[in-house]
Amino acid sequence: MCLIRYQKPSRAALLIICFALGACSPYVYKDEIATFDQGVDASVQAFQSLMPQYTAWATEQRDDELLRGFASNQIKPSVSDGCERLRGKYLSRFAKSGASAGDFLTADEYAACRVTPAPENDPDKGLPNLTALGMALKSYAAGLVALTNAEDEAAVQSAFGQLNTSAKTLLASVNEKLSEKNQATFDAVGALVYQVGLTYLRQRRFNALKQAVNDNDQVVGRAADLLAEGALNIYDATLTAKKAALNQAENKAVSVTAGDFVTVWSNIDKARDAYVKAFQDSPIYAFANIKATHTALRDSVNDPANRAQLNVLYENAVALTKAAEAALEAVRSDDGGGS
Amino acid sequence: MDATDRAQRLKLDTRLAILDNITALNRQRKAAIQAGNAGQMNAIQDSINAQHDQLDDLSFISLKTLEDSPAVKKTLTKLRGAADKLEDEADNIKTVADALQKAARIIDQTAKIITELRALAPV
Repeated sequence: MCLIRYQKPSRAALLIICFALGACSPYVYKDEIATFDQGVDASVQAFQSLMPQYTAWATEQRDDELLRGFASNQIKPSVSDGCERLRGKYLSRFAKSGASAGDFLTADEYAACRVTPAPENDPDKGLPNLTALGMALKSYAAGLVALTNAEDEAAVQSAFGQLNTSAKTLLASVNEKLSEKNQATFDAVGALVYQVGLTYLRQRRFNALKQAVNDNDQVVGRAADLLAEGALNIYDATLTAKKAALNQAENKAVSVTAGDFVTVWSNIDKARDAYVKAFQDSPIYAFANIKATHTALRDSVNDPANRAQLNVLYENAVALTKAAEAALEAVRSDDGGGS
Repeated sequence: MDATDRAQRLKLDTRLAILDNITALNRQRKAAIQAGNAGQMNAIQDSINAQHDQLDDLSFISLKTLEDSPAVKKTLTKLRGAADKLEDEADNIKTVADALQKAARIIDQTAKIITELRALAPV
């Protein structure tokens, strides 16, 4: 649709050509994305300026509720049994199904790990999640801006230079681990070269990408499994440390009084959140994602439909270049003619 | 199931048994907190810390390729029995007094399993 039949254009026709070329450019959305990014920034800032009022109100409500509860029942702050069960479930589910892209623990199981007593109002929950949402949106907008600025061969070349190095390192590491386990190692794969990264710019290199992805898929998959298993063991010490911190905060409750009840409760609450977050941040999920995304990439490059799309993209790119060259020639010709 | 797989399974089951015992000890630690008894709470916490250390020790034992020899299989069978007993211990901790009396024995049982598992691991 970007092909415009060229004869000997007038200035009006040249304007139309330039407009049509602009419509095909990846930069055409740049202004809209920049505006969106600024809008998100302003909204998040406005929301955050309201937060101190909410926090002050919710904190007062929570503290009153906690102190009234303690005065009536003398129950000291603690965490529920749900916190104790998290680690066993996490470990046994990994043993059953191996590395996973999704969290082994459910939202209900995390919720079952709670600080008792649980007040109805809590400044650390509820609205602050909206702040997190705003920040995520802001980050997304920044990603879009970065994307519009990334159409650059040097950047792609640099990225694939790193990929080449990391692919070799990965293969060496996987083979080392497989040797330790007395299992067959992978043969050295032909080096990836940066040119495969220019696929979208130069379709003729598509085959190089396809070959590289197919050759490396098993290596990447095995590497992800081995890394996830190793990470599970290494990360155990982090979970232990977080649980020890939670116990330490909880132990302060042994001599709690009305004077420090809220502080003790808050410290347990913070330690509980850090403990739960440690499970959610477990590196084993990242490794599973490497495997899944690489397989998806492999499937994608082997899909004939995608190949056809790339062909069309390439043809359009060639046509676009020709049209641009023709337009340039027309301008020169017009200027030279002095019309 | 070969010796390496059996050892890996044993390692996992021992970790789960330790976690069960830690859970049981934590329940009694919380009971001591509610009772305002700092001495009991600290004593139980010490036992929990020791079990946590054992959990980490176990995580770092690397059981790669074990020899499928009769001696290794015999050791694994013996350790399997010990791990099963360890798993049952959590059910016996129902009071603060239980926690204080039985924790040392549990830690000792766990230490023996870890020592023998470590001895199996190739150098």
